[in-house]
Amino acid sequence: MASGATAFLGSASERLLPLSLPFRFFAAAVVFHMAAWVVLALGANDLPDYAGGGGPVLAAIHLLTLGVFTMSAMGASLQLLPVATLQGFAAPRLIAGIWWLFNLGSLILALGMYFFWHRAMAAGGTLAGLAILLYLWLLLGNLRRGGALVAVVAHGWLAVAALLGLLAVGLALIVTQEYGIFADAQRSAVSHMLVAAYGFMGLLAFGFSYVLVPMFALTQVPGQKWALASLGIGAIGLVIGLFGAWFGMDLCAAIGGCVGLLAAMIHLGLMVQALRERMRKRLGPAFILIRLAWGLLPLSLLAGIAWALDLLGARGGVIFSLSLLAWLLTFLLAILQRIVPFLASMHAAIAIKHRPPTVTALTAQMPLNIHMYCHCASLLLLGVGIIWSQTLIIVVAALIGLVGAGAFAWFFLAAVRRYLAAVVSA
Amino acid sequence: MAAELTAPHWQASDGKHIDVRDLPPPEPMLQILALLETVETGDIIVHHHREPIYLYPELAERGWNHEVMEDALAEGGEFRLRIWRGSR
Repeated sequence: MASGATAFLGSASERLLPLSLPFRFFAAAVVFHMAAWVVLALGANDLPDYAGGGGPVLAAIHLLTLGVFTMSAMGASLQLLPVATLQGFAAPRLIAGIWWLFNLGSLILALGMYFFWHRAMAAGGTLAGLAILLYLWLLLGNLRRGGALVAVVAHGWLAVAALLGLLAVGLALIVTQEYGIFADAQRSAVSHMLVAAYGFMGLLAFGFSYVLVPMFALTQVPGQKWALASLGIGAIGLVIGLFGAWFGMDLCAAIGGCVGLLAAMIHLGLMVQALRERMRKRLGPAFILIRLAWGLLPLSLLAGIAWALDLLGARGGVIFSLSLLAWLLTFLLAILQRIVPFLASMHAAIAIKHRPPTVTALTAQMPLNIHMYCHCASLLLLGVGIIWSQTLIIVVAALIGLVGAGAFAWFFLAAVRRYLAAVVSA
Repeated sequence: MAAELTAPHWQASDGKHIDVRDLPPPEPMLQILALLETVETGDIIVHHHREPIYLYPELAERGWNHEVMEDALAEGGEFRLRIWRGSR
């Protein structure tokens, strides 16, 4: 038994942030999600042959990675990690400050990337980087105090290391645009992308899955030995892959991808096993997207391996990047659609005490269904548009994605409105 | 598939008790929900080290109410939660 489990941490107020704090991160992610599709539609012409550098494609990628992925990860981890590690979280004002700083930084960075303004990129990157460092400080404080869930905490530590690495390379890449720090900016950009996707976001997705999937499916936490084995193998794969990408050693990059694939299959095996033993019979539509994301994860690694071995032709890099973003976006939106009503119901139960609104009552199902169909259709059409180099198909895909993102915003606003109505009427 | 009820639980005059103090998350929630499946009426009193906040949405979804037992908080070292089905 971990020592954390025996620590008394009495009331909810010691471990729960005000709902407005995690929800403002989620709200920003919802807005950035819509913005990413708009910007992608504007850059549709550049997408099939995109090989790095400033412009709408780079801006759209960072609207997703910073504005949606990192923003949601911040909101979710600041709320969920204290519960997972059985520690309290303080500093709500600092968290609010981080939110402002990160929003401003991400917005300025995306504008700088869109219009290729170096100074805006540098300013936005610095502000976003500062916000990330402050967030890391909070995260480290929580991880340092340990917790009952060893595998989750271990994933958190490595995700922090990856975040520091990708932040350093990202800022250096911005400076490279003007002063040429890296001899090969494209290889450095690929390394930055690998650390961001499989290092920071991937490790957080893996780690939080060991808490969230059992919590939402009502099942046992997967065995820690296998979870740690997946983490160790994945970290080795990432280092090998990075080495190959950084130094242009394609076979080495492909071997890293194969090792990463092994780690991913162990993780997915643990998830499938956990679902087999679940108490909840009906998992709901969120798990359709979670299962889709679980399929996209190995697909992204296979695409990466194929690209490294030059089996995907000239558009291999774009296809690999799309599969990566598709995996993370699908997983994240699935988790968000489950977390938002769950957290709202939990806060309502604490505020109202008697007969709080249920998760079902707080979930607007129709917009979620619209989002799911639009999300899947847009990803599919994007793939087709890239492979056939058809700008029109990419524009249509982006517009369908925008409709889906709008539906997701509708779901989010409905949850907030229903929560407020329940609390006010009580 | 229902979780196997392994946490200590006993019947007392004020209801059925379950002690989940030594379990790592999310085991307390699984054990409490497993107990709920075996109880039709009456009170259940949960002994915990902390307020089981993630349990509340699950209770609401199943039509159970909850109430923090303030007396137990005052005694220190333990958090007690009374849960019951329907209105009272």
